Amino acid sequence: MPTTFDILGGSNRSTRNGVFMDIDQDSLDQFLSLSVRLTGFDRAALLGTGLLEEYYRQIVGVIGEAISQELWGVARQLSARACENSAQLEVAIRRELMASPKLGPVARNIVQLWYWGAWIELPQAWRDQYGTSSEDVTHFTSAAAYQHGLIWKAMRTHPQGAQQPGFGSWSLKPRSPEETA
Amino acid sequence: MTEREYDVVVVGAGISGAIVAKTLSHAGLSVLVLEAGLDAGIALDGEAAYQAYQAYLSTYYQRLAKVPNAGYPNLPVAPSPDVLDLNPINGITPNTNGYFVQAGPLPFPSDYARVPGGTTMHWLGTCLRMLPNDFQLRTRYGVGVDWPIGYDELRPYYKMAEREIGVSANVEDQRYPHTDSGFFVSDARAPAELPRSAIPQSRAGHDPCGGQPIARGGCDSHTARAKFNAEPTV
Repeated sequence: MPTTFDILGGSNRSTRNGVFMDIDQDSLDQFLSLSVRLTGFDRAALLGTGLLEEYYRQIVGVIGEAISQELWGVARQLSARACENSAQLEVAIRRELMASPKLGPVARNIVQLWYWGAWIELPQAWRDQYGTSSEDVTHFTSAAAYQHGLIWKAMRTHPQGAQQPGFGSWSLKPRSPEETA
Repeated sequence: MTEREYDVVVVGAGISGAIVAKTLSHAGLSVLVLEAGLDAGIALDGEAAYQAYQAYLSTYYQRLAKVPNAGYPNLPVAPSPDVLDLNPINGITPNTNGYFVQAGPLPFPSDYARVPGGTTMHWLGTCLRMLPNDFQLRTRYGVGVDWPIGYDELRPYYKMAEREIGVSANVEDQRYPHTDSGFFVSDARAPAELPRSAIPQSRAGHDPCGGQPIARGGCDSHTARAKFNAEPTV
């Protein structure tokens, strides 16, 4: 008897209602540069997860094209100010992004996506104000998203049930942040 | 419906049922295995069993609560108890949340999977023998009961079971290889002389009764499905 199992992954979710999303490269670039600032991981680390487009689809699927464009607009402004010192830039991120009732909760969800692999349902106040999407459900966007969460790299460990470090690995000292940077 | 007679009917395709059925059928008996959780699917060839296991893993990765049963379906026809069903039991009102009716005072705080393979689908691979004194608890310690059989009577069956599931009970295998002084780092430098040692944990390619180090199969910690489960046995 064959085993029957259908696994819904992230890409299936974004096309669940038969809607395919065209991704324009500039918006994707802005999402990537914003993600670098929000996560503290560099472009190579984020691209290396293979999840950039999956997360982009998840975000735009929930907040829609208009709010997305506002978000990429802020990302563009931050990029333009990249030459300023990091303290000034951090103030700008806090003031213009994290403190925003509209964009702040989305930015925090971007951090959740990269670190945890899961989209977290937006706060009720946000949903009341800006709309409620059927995609706005707490879930891992895919099996790969769970496995490639940055949280495991940050903790210098591995996701439970995946990427096993191997027999005897318990005998190796954890590497310091300097060594893994 | 045609009637067919079997020499033996085995109820449940878990660790015991699977091995009993395999042993009996190898001995030439006709065996019927009844499994309540067959709806979860069962694969009778290696490749399909591997894919089925990968599907369980994929499900597990996407569950928000990573509990032991997270990878497995909770079948309507064969529900499984789940730690997520646990609720405090207040007074005389039993907890009926989930598969169990738990009357207390303490709830059973664990789970098992009613799927082909049973417990072996989420065991930890560790399988220790009872000690000889465990069979004589009443005589030696004045608690519990003595077993009607002793360690020596069970010993040959321990050996057979351990061979089947890839666990070692040899005393020297109970100690992990010494892990200081860069033991594993030197492994990596000289793969040709990779010193391997059996451990009391189930791993494929492991022949505990042969007393050989695990040399074949290369670095089996990187081998998918290195740990025994009962599905291929079925």
